Amino acid sequence: MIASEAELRAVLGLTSSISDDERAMLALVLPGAESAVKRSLKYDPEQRVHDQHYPLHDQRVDVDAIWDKSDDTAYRVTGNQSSETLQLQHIPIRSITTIHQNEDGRFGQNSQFDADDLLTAGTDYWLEAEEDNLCMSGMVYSHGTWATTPGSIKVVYRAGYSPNELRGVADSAQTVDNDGVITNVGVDGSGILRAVLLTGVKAMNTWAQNKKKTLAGFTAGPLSSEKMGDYSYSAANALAMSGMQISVPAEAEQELEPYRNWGLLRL
Amino acid sequence: MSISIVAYKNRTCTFTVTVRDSSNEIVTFPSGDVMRIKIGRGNATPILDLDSAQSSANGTTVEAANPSDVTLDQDDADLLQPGIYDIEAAIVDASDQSRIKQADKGLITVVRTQGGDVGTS
Repeated sequence: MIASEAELRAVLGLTSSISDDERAMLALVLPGAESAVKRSLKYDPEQRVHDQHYPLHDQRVDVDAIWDKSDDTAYRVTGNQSSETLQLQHIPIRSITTIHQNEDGRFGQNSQFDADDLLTAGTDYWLEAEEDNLCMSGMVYSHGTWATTPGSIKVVYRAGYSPNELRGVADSAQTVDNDGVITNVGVDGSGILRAVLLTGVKAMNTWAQNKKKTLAGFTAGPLSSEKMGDYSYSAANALAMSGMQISVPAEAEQELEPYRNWGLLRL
Repeated sequence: MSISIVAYKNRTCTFTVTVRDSSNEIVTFPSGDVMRIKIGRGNATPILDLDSAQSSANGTTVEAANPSDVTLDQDDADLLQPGIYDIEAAIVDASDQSRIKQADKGLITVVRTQGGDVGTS
């Protein structure tokens, strides 16, 4: 997980005490806030190993296509959309475990991608790496060109930010902990954490407006005034309520801008 | 009530954890039970997993009592980067097949400190 319950409680001011209602809402809101941020980014910023097939879409063209065969199957080898770079979805890339390439790979559904298809790191491909264990762009270079048939490349790779990088406290030397998580000094993914917390705060505030009030019960809108003697209240326009959707607010979207993977347009 | 603690990176500190029931009464801690303290984030492996049965490798101790005094050793505190962590206090119930029962959760804030040790370590 990107943000902890303790961190969201801290920004909500729920450090020394918390009600059962608030605990229940935190349990709903926190994973929802993280999901909303991941949907906005369109990749998973938490560091983990991914096993994916590329390309996702047919990038081949009929003009100037070159044909070859593998056993009894004929396939187009290249069109003029072939490229020496392969854009991966999840960033930053920390390491490549394996890359297999087979024009008949079919997204791994016909038991291809065997030892004969295994590419050699540093010779057949290499990362566009700013430093060891860090490729911010998500680009992998090929010695030649990458296959363009959908699902013909299988990539197993580690990508994403470590917990310390997500908090902007990666100030110790590069480390690989017991779970294989890599941290690089100076890498700062804290904007993503702040976006999750901002989204969580917004969702909790919406809940607080909509929830049943002790004296007033369920109101048509958020309370705009309340009196205790001969109890009375007035509620704001019901249209002011925004429901229970968990959406990323504008200020959180701004925090996420530096972390966009613009190469996703190529997938 | 909830646990709320401030600790300092690379500094020994002592704090008290009190487990209360839903009526806000202090839970009785029978002899034989173990107090367990976990510090980490979310459902990841805790960074510090401490208990009253024995001190940690760095010498952190947890009192087998409720309220329980926890002395967080400097070297264990150094494992925590500055920030906010989940802290969980749980009781291992010796009378119930040593099942671990969550007692309370809260947060521990680790404050950044200046480098180097002062005096003798």
